[in-house]
Formats: sequence, C-alpha cells, structure tokens
Amino acid sequence: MSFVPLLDRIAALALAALVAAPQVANACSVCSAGRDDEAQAAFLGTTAFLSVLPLAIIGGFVWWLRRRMRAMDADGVTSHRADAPASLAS
Amino acid sequence: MTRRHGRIRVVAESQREPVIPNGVLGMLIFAMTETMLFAGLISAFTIVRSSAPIWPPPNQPRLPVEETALNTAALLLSGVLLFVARRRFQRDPGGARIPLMASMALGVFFVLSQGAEWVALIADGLTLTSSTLGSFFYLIVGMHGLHAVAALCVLAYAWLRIQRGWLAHRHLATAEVFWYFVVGIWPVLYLVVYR
Repeated sequence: MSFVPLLDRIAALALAALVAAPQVANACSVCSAGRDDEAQAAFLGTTAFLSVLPLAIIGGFVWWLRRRMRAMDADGVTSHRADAPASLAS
Repeated sequence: MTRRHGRIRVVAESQREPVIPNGVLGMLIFAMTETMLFAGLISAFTIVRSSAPIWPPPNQPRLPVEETALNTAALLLSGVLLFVARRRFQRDPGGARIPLMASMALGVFFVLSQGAEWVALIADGLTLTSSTLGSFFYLIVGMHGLHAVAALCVLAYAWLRIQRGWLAHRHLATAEVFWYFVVGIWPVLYLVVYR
C-alpha cells in the first residue's frame, strides 16, 4: 500500500465523519460563538477596533513627529551649529 | 562633518539634534506594541463575555467596582503629579523631587490596593481557573499591574538621578512615557473589565 492512497482514505473518512456528524464542526469556538446579535456585534466591533487601532497609533505618531520636526525647524534647533550648512544644501 | 557629493553638501547625522531622544522613541514603540497587546486582550474578553449565556458567571464574586474607582482616581492623580514634576523640572530640577515622589507614592498605593483586592477575590473563590471571568480578570489586570511595577521602578530610577543631580530631560521624558501609558490605559481596562 503506497503512502498517497492512505492519505486519500484518511481524508475520505474525515469527510464522511463531518457529513455524518456536522455538529463536530461547531467544536470551533469561533464558529458557534457568533449566533446571537450581541455576540455578532462584539465580533464586528472588536474586528473594527483591532483594524483601526494600529493605523490610528502609527498615524498619530507620524503626525506628532511631523509637527515636532516643523516646530524644531521653526525654532532653529535642527539647524545644527551656527556655521554649519543646512542638512541638504545645494 | 560635511561631505560634498557633486554640488550637494551633506551634513553628518551626528551633528543633528534628534527629533526624539532614543530612549523616548524606544519607550514610545514599546508603549505602542503594549497597547496592541491590551487591545487583543480586551477584544478577546469582550467576545467571551458577549458569547456567555450568563455574565458574570454564576457562583463567582462580583468585582469591587467602587473600591477600584478610588484606585483609579489615585492613579490618575499620580499622572497629574508627574506632569507637575515635569513642569517644575524644566524650571528647577530639584523642585521636581516632591511631586515625583508623590506620584510614585500614589502609584505604589494603586499597586498595593490592587494586590489587596486580589487577595480578597481569591478568598471569595475567584481564581485563575474558577471561570472565564477569573481567567481574564487576572490576566488583564495582572498584566497591567506588571507594567505598573516596572514603570514605578523606572520612576524610582529617575528620582534617584534627581537626588544625585544628574537627571537629564530625556531620562525624565522616557520615564514619563512609560508612566503615562500605565495611567492612560487603566481607565479603559477598568471600564471594560469591571462593568
């Protein structure tokens, strides 16, 4: 008996088991959790929360950094020494 | 040091004043990643609570909302005092000692009160394995407590440096970022976990 037909048989058996006992598929906590409205709303809300939060954090950080750089440029903090040229001067 | 590339002069980076001190940048990145950690925990907790047929689980003690509100107020006040310490430090570094010490004292009060709350809850039967409420409560609040203890150590280090007269602005700013993170995330955790 070769290896591949054995895998085929196992897969066929697993498929037959799922067809015969579909409730086994619900053993997954995520599959059975979102059945009522409140749970579905929680899934939706947390998905949106986790999607938006990193973008908001990084976006906020970049915005703050840009503001700070402009403020420092305006104050002349990044202009180095008085006799030094600008960081990229032609 | 200036180098010339054709018609363009380039100034070496070492001559630039950094936009953010390295320590502050590192702490900000740390705070961002930890924010995502807590966001994941909050999300998991929210889904488990919404999916539970009865919440809080039966035969489990209720979380002490009122006592923890007092702790929350102490922690928020601690953040305000750290801000006062920063303002004083800018004028006179020695003047920051008292508000910084008061800020740390309130932080220690918060951590000890949380510890006392845990002892009472464990005695009442809420443990890490007694229910999903217990599991999430100790995981989320414990994780925050761990951060609070670490941030208090950083604040204590800053205070020692003030005592010795060699605390730089960037050092205090690094400690501030850590403590503001601990202070800022707690009200969110309190509203999610304790309600």
